[in-house]
Amino acid sequence: MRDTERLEAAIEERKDSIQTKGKQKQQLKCDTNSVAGCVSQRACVYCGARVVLNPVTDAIHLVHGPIGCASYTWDIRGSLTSGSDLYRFSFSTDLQEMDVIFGGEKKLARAIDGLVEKYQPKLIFVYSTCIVGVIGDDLEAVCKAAARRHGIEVIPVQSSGFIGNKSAGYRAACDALLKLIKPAENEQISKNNTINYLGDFNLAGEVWIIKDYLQRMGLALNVAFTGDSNYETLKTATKASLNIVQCAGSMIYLANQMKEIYDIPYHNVSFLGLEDTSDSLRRIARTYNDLEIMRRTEELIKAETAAVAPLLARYREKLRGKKAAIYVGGGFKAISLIKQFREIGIDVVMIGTQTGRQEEYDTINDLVDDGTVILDDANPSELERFMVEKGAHLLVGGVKERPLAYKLGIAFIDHNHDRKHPLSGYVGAVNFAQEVYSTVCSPVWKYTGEGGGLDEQRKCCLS
Amino acid sequence: MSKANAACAESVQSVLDWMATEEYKEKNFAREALVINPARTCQPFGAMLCALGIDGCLPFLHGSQGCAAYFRSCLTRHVREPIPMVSDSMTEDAAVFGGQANLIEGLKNAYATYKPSIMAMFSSCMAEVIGDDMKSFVQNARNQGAIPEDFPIAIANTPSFTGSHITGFDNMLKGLLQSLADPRHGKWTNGRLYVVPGFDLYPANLREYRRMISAMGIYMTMLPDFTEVLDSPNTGEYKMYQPGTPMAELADALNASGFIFMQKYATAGTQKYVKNVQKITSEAITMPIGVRNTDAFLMTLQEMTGKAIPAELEAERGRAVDAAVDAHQYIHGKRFAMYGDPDLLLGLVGFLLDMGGIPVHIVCSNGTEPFRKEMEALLASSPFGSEGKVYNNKDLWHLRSLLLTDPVDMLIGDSHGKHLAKDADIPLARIGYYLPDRVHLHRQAIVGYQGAINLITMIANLFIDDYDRKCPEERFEILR
Repeated sequence: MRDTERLEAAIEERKDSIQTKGKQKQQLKCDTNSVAGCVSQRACVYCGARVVLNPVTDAIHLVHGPIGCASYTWDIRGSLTSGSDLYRFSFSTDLQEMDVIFGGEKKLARAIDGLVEKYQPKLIFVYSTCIVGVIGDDLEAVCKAAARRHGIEVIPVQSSGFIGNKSAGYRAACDALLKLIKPAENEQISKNNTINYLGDFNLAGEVWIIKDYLQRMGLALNVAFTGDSNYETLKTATKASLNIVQCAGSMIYLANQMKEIYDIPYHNVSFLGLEDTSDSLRRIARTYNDLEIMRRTEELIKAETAAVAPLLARYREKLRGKKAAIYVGGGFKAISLIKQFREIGIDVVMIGTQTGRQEEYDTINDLVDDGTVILDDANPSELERFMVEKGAHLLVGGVKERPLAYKLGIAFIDHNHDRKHPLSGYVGAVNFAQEVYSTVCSPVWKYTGEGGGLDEQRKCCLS
Repeated sequence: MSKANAACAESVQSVLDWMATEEYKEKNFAREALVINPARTCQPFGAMLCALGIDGCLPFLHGSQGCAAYFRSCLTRHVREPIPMVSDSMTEDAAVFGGQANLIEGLKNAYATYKPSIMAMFSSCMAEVIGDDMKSFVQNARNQGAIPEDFPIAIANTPSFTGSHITGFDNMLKGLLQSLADPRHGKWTNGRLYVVPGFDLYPANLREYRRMISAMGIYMTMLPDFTEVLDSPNTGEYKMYQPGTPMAELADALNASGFIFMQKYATAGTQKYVKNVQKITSEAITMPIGVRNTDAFLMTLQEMTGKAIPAELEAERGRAVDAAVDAHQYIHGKRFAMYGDPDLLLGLVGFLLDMGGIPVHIVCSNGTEPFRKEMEALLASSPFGSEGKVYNNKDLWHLRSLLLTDPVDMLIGDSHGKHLAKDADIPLARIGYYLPDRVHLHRQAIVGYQGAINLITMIANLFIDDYDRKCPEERFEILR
């Protein structure tokens, strides 16, 4: 069979989850389970919970399940630590056939006991996996008993893989965090002026960049959820006076809960690209209604922008007119990327997410040009078809998308766990442009033949 | 540093010191309910690899979507290739009512969407626990017209809570033969030697097997052949299916003139089926790592087929021996720790013994008693093997205790060993599966005479690099 036929068949099955701006009126189908029998780029509930909680550096992350679930997620998060590195370990109860038959509760209890003896942790997260959900181990009870026995916090994470999609995992993680930050019965919460930063996982040290900005504005970061956080800092979360939310997909639920329970207001922010970074910093400053903070914020924006503007202008010269395709996890990141590409002269011709929500797709639709393809929970065939059709020179995505782009002769940058340079803030905007430039304008594409290939646009950035 | 920080650093240091003691090692080895830093993964991962080696085959996981995503990510990180695979995306309903509806819907969609020539179906732990009968579900799918009556589907049960990735590989391979191979035509054979690579994530190894066997003029089929999936050319086009074992040759497998299994522990069940049930001449050899194991491989081929070893392979052997001689002084007397799958370890230990290397800690988290016995016999066969000790079903945290209480000069294993090597301050020779932090190691063969040269080069140069980095200034010079 010709590969083009395969492509046509692949698209037909999922036409409700794909649209072209300016062509259809109906709503994009999103936030549903993946179609059975499709090559989905999405992971599971457990994965969603794991990516949100794993950056808590001094916690024991114990996976209650067969060995695979622990081994596939061992130290792949890309989040950096300034303290403990316990989170980089992989702990598993390695459930065997007998445990499946007789239940894994006792083994889990023994595993926790062993961990406490070995590492004296203050906090253990116990992740449920598919099998635990099916055999019906009472995670709550085992964790509660262990917590009492050892005088530490042992928090169950209800993340059995089959109970929904990745978003359900985000929610399970947020529920675990809510349990953790809840003050003791008679503890008085005294608010201070600090800020919690939700939805940044300190990939390549990104939290540290924002922490520095806040300091220079005369503000202080209380704790980030969950990049470079630890037991002690997370315990202070309810004292903050403001929450700012970067990755809304994973953290908006927590922000809403904290608003309701602890009366902490929140802003959505984005530190991707100059425009969004400056807007976000101003927004934070305005909350405090303090002239000094606002003055310092403007000073920061001015200084940082001036430092990076000439660099970005140079890249813009090289990249003007190139076309990008985006396929990322959440909708909020996708929105920022559209703006960030604009800042370096690049148009977005295809955009999709794994777990975007309806209102985010609406915003995306408003931002992109007519003819841009928008798609939810895309599979490799769709990505291929639309990247080639739209003549994309670059794909932004995660680990599974990279080799697909390369095979098509299309440049790639990782905007996921595997990134090695911080992409946040002003310095991140330059790193981003630099990465885009070095992949889009690499001479290696000379040899990759047709497909995305080396069209006139590509050639000119090599000169 | 503040007083509190200093006190904290001091206590961290004292814990670290304690972890390097015999006392801690004993406690660590008493651990039973907990695995820390596993050196193996689950069955369906191996099944996926096996399935990818059949031409036009789409691996189909009966289970949750997440498993499929993890398998694909991990394999992609290792070989930097797109990996096609579908799942039937089982959800809560399936857990309660069984996964038949998902399976049928999944087959229907996958068949219509991706137009595979065959599908290889295997199970995640969830499907196994709820007791789904894949065989009858598939039959029902055919009856309902979700897929054509004669569409080839192979089925394997691959529960994650027993065995490891190599068991899954074995189960899928046996499943392919049982589901899709035609019955034997009596004593007639098709004259082909079937070569089973095993759970081997070095496409370069598979190419090396093919090259050597072809050089002997032997008519062969690689089963399964995932060389191209794991290392496909960049042509500016994405092809979902890369060439693999042709369906016709899979169907004709039981008429083989013989089977040679390049990894015996990763194919134990299939061997039994081929040899004992189907009565096909077959040999399972030690993975041909190093000169001695490659010699044995060629001798086995010679015995099975009557073909002579050609001059070009003899010359190659001579070059490998020359490389060993030229570099033996860098490896002789060096002490090694290693971990990995049983077949890999047996090959590597034989190779090291011949170089004068001393295998000390041999950790195999999916090893069996027969493996232990074979390894111990191998160690006993050489004076360099006297220090070697086998640790079955242990993890990398056990290995850490071993490294800190009885230090060695080099660690051999996958990229997960990098923390260990750093803590022990020794070089890590990255050999095995899961090498996401270096490029293209899977493109360099570790088997055959060429593989022996590659291994000697890698190991000797790592020692030299390490010395260059650590040596005192007055000893830093060109000659090594």
